[in-house]
Amino acid sequence: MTDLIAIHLTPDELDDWLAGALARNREAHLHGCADCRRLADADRALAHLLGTLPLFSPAAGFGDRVMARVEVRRRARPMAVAAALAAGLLLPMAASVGWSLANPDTLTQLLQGAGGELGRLALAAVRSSGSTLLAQPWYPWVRGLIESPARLGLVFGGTAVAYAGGVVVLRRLLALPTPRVAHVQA
Amino acid sequence: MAKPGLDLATMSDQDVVLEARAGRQAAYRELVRRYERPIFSLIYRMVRNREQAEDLSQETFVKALNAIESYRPEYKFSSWIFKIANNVSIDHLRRRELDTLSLDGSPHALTPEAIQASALQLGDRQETALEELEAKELGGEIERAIATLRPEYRSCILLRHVEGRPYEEIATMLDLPLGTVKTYIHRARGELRQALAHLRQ
Repeated sequence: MTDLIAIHLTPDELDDWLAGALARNREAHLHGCADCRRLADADRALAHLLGTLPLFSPAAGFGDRVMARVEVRRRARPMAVAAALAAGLLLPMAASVGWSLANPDTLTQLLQGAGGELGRLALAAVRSSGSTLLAQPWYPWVRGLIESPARLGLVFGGTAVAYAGGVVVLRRLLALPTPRVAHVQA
Repeated sequence: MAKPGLDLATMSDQDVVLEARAGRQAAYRELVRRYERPIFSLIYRMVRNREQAEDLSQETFVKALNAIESYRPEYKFSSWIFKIANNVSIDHLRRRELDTLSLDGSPHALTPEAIQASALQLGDRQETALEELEAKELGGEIERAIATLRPEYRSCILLRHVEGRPYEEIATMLDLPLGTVKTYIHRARGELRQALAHLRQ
């Protein structure tokens, strides 16, 4: 078994020692090894020297020179956007209600005329869809299915299971991998 | 202008950034005020020229502040801006062609006239005020020892021991694996120990 006490401190362990976090058994080596103590003391002195290096200041007016080149963009505030949207919806609604109240006869005529025309169109569409459906070759089979509750239940059950399975598969396929590395961009 | 009662100096970096994104010029200025000295100091020690360091520091802030919308608040603002500063410095050092001057002339000189023209003439050149300031600020033993390090080692050791950043944050800032950062710092410490050994004797 390798005698850990005899092995010199690694650079990582010197780091740990500087941070006051060296393992006890490795402290024992440090006490007994002049070479490692010399290295550790030199590293501590160096760290102290580096840590006391001064910060330099740029020339006066640095902030002004930077700001002269920076484009300060005003982002629209969320409350202002919400207020604008609300106004955009409410004002036309209010205008519409106001006009309707001010012109009840005109409104009634319009509704009757438009309503009647729309009703005729809707009825024609339903009749056309109905006759088209009856003419389909699969219609008798569908009718048979609807008339049998057991078969209908089976079809619905199978469809629900297939739908749920499809949702699970799609979610797995579309799931994005979680990024492992902090990524900042400039 | 800041809202009345809003003391930007006491707000966290993230909150000041939010104010800056809302278009408050005072918030931009606050970010410059907080980081101008650390950023300038890092770049100055990297490029060792005050004028160039000023230009590069300006470039760093302009890049950062003009792209403030792309900053992601879940990461530290200081990491982000130091990353930009380091990239700007390293790019500058790569672009800059450093002619090696020796007392005996450039190694690229081929004729006696060219050698004489490129030889460093001691004593016949007056230092400008800026050069005097540079010599005073960066002329110390430790500063000159730092200048001998490779740029990659230099930025790592400065971020670790001058800025006090943990290894993991340096790795994020410089887009390097953690092991590489540790190796660079250990090697930088080794080189600095050797360069300063005479001071301990």
